[in-house]
Amino acid sequence: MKNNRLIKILVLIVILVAAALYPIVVQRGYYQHLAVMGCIYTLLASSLNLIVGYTGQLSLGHAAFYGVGAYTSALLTLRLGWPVWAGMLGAMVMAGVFGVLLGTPTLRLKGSYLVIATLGFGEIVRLVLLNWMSLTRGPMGLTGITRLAPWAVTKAHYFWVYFPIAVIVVVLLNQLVNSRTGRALKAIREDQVAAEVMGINLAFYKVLAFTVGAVIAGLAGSLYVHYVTFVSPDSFPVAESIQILVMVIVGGMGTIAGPIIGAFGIVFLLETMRALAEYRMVIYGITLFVVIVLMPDGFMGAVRRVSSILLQRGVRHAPAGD
Amino acid sequence: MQNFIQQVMNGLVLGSVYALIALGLTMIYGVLGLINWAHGEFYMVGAFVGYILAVRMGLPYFVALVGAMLIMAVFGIVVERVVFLPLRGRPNMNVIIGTLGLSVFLLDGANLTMGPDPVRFPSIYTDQFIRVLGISFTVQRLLVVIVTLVLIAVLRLFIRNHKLGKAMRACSQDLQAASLMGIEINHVAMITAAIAASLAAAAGTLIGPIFLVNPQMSIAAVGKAFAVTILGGLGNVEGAVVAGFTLGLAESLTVAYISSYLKEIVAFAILITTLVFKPEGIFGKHSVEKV
Amino acid sequence: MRLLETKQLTIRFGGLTAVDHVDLVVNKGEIVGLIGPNGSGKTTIFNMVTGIYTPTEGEILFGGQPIHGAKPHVITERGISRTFQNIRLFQSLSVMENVLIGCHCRMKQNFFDDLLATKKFLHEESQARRTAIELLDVFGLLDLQHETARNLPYGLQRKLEIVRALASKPELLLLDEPAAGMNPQESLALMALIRQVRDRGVTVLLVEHDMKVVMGICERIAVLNYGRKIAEGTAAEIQSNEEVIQAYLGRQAKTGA
Ligand SMILES: Nc1ncnc2c1ncn2[C@@H]1O[C@H](COP(=O)(O)OP(=O)(O)O)[C@@H](O)[C@H]1O
Ligand SMILES: [Mg+2]
Repeated sequence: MKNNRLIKILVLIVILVAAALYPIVVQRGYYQHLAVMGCIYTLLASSLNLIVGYTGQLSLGHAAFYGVGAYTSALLTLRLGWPVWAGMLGAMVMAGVFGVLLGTPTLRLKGSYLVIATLGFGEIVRLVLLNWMSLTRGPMGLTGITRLAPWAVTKAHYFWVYFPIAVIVVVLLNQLVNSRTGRALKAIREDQVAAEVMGINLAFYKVLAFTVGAVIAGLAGSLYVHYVTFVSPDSFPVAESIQILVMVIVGGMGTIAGPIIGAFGIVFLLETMRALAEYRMVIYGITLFVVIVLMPDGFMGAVRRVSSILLQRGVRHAPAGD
Repeated sequence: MQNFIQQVMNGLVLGSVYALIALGLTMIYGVLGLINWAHGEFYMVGAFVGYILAVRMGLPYFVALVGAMLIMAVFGIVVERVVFLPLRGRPNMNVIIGTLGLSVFLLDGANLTMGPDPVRFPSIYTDQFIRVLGISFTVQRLLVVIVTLVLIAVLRLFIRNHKLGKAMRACSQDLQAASLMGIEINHVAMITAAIAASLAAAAGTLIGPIFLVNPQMSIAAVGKAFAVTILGGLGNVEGAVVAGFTLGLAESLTVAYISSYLKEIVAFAILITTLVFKPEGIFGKHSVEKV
Repeated sequence: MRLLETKQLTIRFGGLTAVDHVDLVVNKGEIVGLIGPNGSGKTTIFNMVTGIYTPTEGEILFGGQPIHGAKPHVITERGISRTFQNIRLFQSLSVMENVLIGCHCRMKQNFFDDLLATKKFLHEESQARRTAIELLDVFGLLDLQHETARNLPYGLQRKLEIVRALASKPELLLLDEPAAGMNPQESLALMALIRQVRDRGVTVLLVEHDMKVVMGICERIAVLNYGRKIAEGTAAEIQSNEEVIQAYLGRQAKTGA
């Protein structure tokens, strides 16, 4: 038990140190860019995982929170001259408000109905961003957005800021899912009726999950926008929500490591597949199908299964959330 | 007044397409219990098949229409065997990712083979005009509505009277009971997918000559199809037809009397409102979940 | 003292009146039985008392206060807890987590305590764990605390449901067929446990088909048939009641069993 924890901490330290050194070892700007995007997608996938993996509420509207965060931060810094850190806070608050706006009316919905409602919500947000010309300049998007900081020049600089942020958020999420709040969310995922009868306020915790998820996605949006310094509604289509969901599920939902592996894995996988040129997305589509048929609980589920075979030569049921 | 009639005609054309697409989506949900996230691509692929038959191979339009429906029926059966079958009975999540994989595959497959740019799909009926009630419209538009109504009528007869149609209804009520009654679930599943895909092909081939055909047309279609399916009640065939025409009319009247910016939002507004206030659809009855 | 009281409690589903003007009283410290043929409305009464269904008519008073129409989590907080006829554990969570979720409404930390692992979080968490360990020990489940709930054998799952319900520190415990699927020895042990629960000050309302269990531990028994209460009294009174015998025999004759 004690030993186990020590090993875990050691592994964690090794990963952190290796990550910090990554931009020094890997000098190519493009690979540094992928690492920065990996951090942003880690925030997106981990926060969606709180909604989907822990609370069991299927959502295809996550890109909306990402987009709201991105636009809020861009507009606050660009139009009102707020400093970047204040823009980030504003993005988180505004995305949180949208979390409440999505979470509250959809409380009664389950399964496929909820997925479709969240999809519709995401599309409405995107269409408003697209058509509210006076605020967002519509399809032309907003350009010249403030960089993270005057000293943030290279991609490595961004990585050294975004990586710790991702680590902190993941650590907080890890703490949260192992607390009273986290258990309430898991209880809702497992059985809503039983959860309610055990004294859990369904409405409160469902909306809480959407709100916390949205706040983190809003932060991701802000980080994104001060990195690429440009934003348009094209960055937040349904396909983006789908991409984030794929990361969660393929990595392994309802686990802390799963969405991180999914985020970095898919960012780098799509990059590696560039060699396939125009066949890339076609093969990606087939890959998704094959992966989900062969590993229904994602990468983490497969790891758990293999390790339990190795450890005790007998497969136990891996917990699957739905 | 003239403008109003014109807009109603537009609405009926749009509504026909929405109804045909949504019918397939709702039937697959009803019988197979899964949501086909690649259904927009069925419609798009169907439109391209119709385009190839009519334009590239020069077949008469009606031959191309029937041909596209037949080819897509076979396509539907293949998809059922290869994609839907492994996903049957799996958790919602897996079904979503699995059929999204198919959607990405078909969308980018079309990009690859047909190119991303829109192509024109002329038919002889786009040049012939009809004048009624002081407005004029192309024969193609009339054709869309009439063919759709005929297809819906045939489908209805099939579901009501044919042995397989009845089996489909039994499956959509209770899959397990149906299989206990000796219904061959696999046959029903394949037939359902075949019908769904050929209805989508009809939609694509009918509307192709009015709009342009391109791979991206699937993306807009799928959102509309979901709105229609939910409004009509998931799994409800009659509901899908009524809801399809409702959305078509709502959209064209919004364009005419409110703003064309809002056209795309209408579908999603209807979608969300229905889900929030009456998730069982306009025709569904509310029931207390048994504990 | 009346702990739970239903007055003319009624619910209809479409045309079916599942519970029909039922008056029922449970006094503090009692073990009361609720019996009746299948489909007579016992579970439905539990569902109304715990707030899952809203009655069509009538009242439910708990400690003299009306609770009908309140949300289930509010009712749990007031002090009513239950088990389910068809086991509803949190299947993919551990035994310990199941019980800790039972403690949910007695823990006082808020969201930010949880997020930031404050002192209050640590205190409440260790308190809850202590409660859970003690309860699991009483029910002989402590060794299995790290096991996943779905891996427990059926009988232990039923026990775990009782432990989970007790973790919310209820005044009134509703048990829905706790002996279903148990062998005679297990049922006997269960009876002892239910008595023990009562002796800790928890009032019990028990739905059970196993007449040995019901007659053995219930001080009072109410009988339902087709949603109506047809008799009430001690075990001896119920056993000799003509209408009750008729209700059970009649049903049996009809189903051909
Ligand atoms: N949500 C519901 N919708 C329709 N009928 C219901 C519902 N819940 C219970 N019933 C019906 O109420 C009657 C009583 O059921 P129940 O309370 O489960 O009986 P039991 O006494 O066996 O526990 C049954 O006929 C059942 O079918
Ligand atoms: Mg019952």
